[in-house]
Amino acid sequence: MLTGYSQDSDQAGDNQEAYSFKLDYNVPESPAFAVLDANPTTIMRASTPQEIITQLASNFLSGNEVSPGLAFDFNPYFTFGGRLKSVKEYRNSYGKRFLANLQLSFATINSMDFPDDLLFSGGIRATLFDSKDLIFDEQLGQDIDNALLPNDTDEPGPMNSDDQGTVVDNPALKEAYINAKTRYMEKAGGSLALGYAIAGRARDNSFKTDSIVTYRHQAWLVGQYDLGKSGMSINGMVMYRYDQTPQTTDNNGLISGIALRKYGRKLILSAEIYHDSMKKSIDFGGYAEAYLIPSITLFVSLKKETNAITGNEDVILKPGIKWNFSQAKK
Amino acid sequence: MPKSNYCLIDPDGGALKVKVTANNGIRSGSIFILWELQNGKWEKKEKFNVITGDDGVDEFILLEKPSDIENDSLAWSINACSMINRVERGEFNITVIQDEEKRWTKESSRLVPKCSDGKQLKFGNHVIFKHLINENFSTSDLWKDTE
Repeated sequence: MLTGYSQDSDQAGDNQEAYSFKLDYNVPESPAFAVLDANPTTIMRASTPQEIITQLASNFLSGNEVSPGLAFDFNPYFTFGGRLKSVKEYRNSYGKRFLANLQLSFATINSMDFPDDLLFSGGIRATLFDSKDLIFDEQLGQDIDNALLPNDTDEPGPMNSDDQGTVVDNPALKEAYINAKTRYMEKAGGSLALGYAIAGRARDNSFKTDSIVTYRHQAWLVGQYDLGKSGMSINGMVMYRYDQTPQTTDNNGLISGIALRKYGRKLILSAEIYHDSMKKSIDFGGYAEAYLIPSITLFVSLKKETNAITGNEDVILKPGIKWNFSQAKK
Repeated sequence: MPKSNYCLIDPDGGALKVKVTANNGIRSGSIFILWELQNGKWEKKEKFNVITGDDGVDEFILLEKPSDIENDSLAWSINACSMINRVERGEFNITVIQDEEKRWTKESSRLVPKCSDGKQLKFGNHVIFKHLINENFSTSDLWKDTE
């Protein structure tokens, strides 16, 4: 995925505004992190994936126990050679759109629950429906086309030979996305997504066959409805989880709940309530996500967590970061 | 199909159509200019704006007659970016068509920046038109022409 290309250097101050026109603020959570309980929230988002994302899980800012982890999410269809004829095909073909929006995810994490082991996971997520999918924004398409049309000063000479090409800044493209972001935030609409993930343990950090055990499977359906101009969003989720930990042998049940999110341009606030039929408890959580530094999303969550070994429940403040791999290439 | 910068056309055939395609949801905007060498100096004869847009395809027809186009240069400059954020690469095709027959094609697979990054890939090239020699033209006829 680390593909390189030649490009002009950024103009001064360019990075300062880079995050402001990216539509990366509604990026769905990593399925692989979800099964490891490494996501800062329990109730996930249903929107279309936007980028190739690498997420780092860490609560280093709190000074508590460190649980470093890494998740890598990508689209398998395009990564393994899938093709799309055009934007029109994306809009008209449900099958191609389904494939283009698949999200495959892998993660590892060092958990305090299993201090001698490395936890790893894999997951897949499919967007079944998204009425706010950016690719359907025809105005954005027209704005991009207008921005791409060369000026008269860029007219090619008779012996033009720039076959290699160069990547250059185009301020009009940025403008098109700033306008698209405003339309996106003000538009009401819903989305629906389905996910599955499996988690395993490499005992004593060994990846020998007899050292690897799977301990959790989960599948979930999540719906999201954005109310429009208010910037509010309602998410609902139903998840089936099969768990096999030292504390919960052959435990299975449903985790279901709702989340209310308030989307600002640089800050997202979220509150959630969910029922866990395995623990027979109703829990609450809070979450804030800030876009203050290009390529990096800072977040902090407050939620009740159960130690898998001791069974103790604690309300934990967990700061962390998400690193947008695609933007980092800039 | 020739891959050089020379496009062989039938001087007695129909008008030349140029078709531009970009796949994978990549959007492109470009300028094509037909240049003619007159008295050692290149003169601009025709200009076309080409936008592949939602369909990923656009085309135009050169007004110049094929019989008058020999040694003319068709040059282009293309700007492109990916509207679908999961897409990093796409295929571009420029095809010269005469009487439904492909006379010349330029294919390229390129890494393309994301439109949402505010960046575009800029590239370009040119092709020179040459007249096909009629295969049925006998050597004796050629000698007659020179006499």
